[in-house]
Amino acid sequence: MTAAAIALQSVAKRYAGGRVGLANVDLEVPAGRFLGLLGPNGAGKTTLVGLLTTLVRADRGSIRVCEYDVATQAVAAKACMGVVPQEVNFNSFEPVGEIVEAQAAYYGLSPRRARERTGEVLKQAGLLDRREQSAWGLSGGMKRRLMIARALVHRPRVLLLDEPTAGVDLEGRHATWELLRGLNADGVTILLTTHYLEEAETLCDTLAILDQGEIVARGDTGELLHGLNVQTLVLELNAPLDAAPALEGLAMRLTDRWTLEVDLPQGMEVNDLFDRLGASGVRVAGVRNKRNRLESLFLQRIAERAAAPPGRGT
Amino acid sequence: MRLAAYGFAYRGMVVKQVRRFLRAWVQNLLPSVVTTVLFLVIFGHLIGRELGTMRGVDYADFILPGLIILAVATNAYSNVTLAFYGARLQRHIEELLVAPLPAWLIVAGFATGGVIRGLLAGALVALVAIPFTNLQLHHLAATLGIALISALLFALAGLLNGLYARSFDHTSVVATFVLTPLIYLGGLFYPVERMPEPWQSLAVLNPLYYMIEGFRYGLLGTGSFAWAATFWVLVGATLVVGGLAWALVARGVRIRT
Repeated sequence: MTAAAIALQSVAKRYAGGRVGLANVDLEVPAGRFLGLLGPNGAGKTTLVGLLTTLVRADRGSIRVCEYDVATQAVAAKACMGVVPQEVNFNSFEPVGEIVEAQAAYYGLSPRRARERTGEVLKQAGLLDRREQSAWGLSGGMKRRLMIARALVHRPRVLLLDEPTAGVDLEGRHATWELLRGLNADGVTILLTTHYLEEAETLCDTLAILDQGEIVARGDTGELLHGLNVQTLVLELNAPLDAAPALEGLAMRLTDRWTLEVDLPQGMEVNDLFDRLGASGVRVAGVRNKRNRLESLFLQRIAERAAAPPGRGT
Repeated sequence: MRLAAYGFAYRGMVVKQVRRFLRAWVQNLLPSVVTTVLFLVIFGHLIGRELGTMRGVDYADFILPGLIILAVATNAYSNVTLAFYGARLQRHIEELLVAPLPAWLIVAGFATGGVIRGLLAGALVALVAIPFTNLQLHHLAATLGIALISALLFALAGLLNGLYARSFDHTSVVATFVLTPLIYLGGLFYPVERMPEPWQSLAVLNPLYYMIEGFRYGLLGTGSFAWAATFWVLVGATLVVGGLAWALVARGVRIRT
């Protein structure tokens, strides 16, 4: 059995004023996995990252990172973590290289090793030519990459990333994805919070969805997506229709005369759908998902929770 | 192994602190030098000539130890206050809080930065005073010991200010309304024994009085009491303030949620 790189048991956090940060959360991330933590704004994602890094103090529960208790063995637990926060949190007046070198020193690297590793991670992040430049002049995307480089300087076994690609352009986002895939392939356990569902579906082998401080869904990405109750397909038609065909057990609607939306229930194969449409004289030129599948899952679980009686999790 | 790692971390913090105040050295180091030159020219020479000697030395020589210790204390204090408050404001205190550093090491890193700036400012003030005074060194250990412990005490006190400050205004309130008046009333410009009662007795309660008198003894060989007693009182105060700073940082007061 693989040891858990991250383990939370019955963890709760309530902020001053009564707002719930986390409510009795259990979560385990085995070593080497890539967990995507999803949830609407205020769901508790940043609170969870804060609790792991000790920036936020838990009211109760046990939190272990690399098998060290973050409350009683904080130094050892923090030594194995790298953290990329949601907000920029370096001194912008300092040169890029000094920011990373200082962080390397804080993790106990000798000055010579800190300089070497700084060069390596800045190169990895595509910032080596900015080493002597003040961080003030970096673009938003570069600042995010700098925070990733800083988090990697001591070769962490666990990497925590809180929305690392927010506001980053497409090219930068894909470069970050490649970097994270490589790190995970090298055995680094990654916890990623994101609002980009495509990002989570592409990168993460495990997902957890948080809502109002509670985990409302968790599991392997593939299994969770397979468990979708329904997915909506958008069909481009070969010939226009005046009305949506009526087929038993299928909800269909025309968005225009050339486009038909079909809610495909769980268990029905797309082949069956096409057979039945073909039998009705409907010819299909193209097909796509209306929403990203993870987006559908996300909205479904949040809606289920909203409809559930208070206190009942999923 | 852990000790070596702590050593590198401590070095990293101190280098960062020193670079921080040297980046704006004109703003951080020169004001004390300019103020001292003005005090020595105006009070030491123009007015001091009328006053004659005090405790057997020229007036400019008499006020110089107080001016040096004023520079040491205010620079050490404001350096740590601004560094710590700035780190909280810009959130780069998190760089330290997420790293495997015990609270005492974080306190030591900030305090050392303040001590270095305080001693550097004191040395610069002493240097520019040479043309205006007969700078002496009566007792090396007393001079260095009092300067060092004063810098450390005020650096740690500055950390408490930086921890509790809610705005930039709060970073200067204590230095302006508490620290500077206490130094001025602690016998910088006059021997406390010349003050009328009850002010003379009240002056004895002013901790800055002991710093100035102890340092004055170190430079001039003149003072109201044994410098060693002053030194150990300051050590005690430093342990209390340092212990408080450590406890607050360890508990995460104002820096963790």
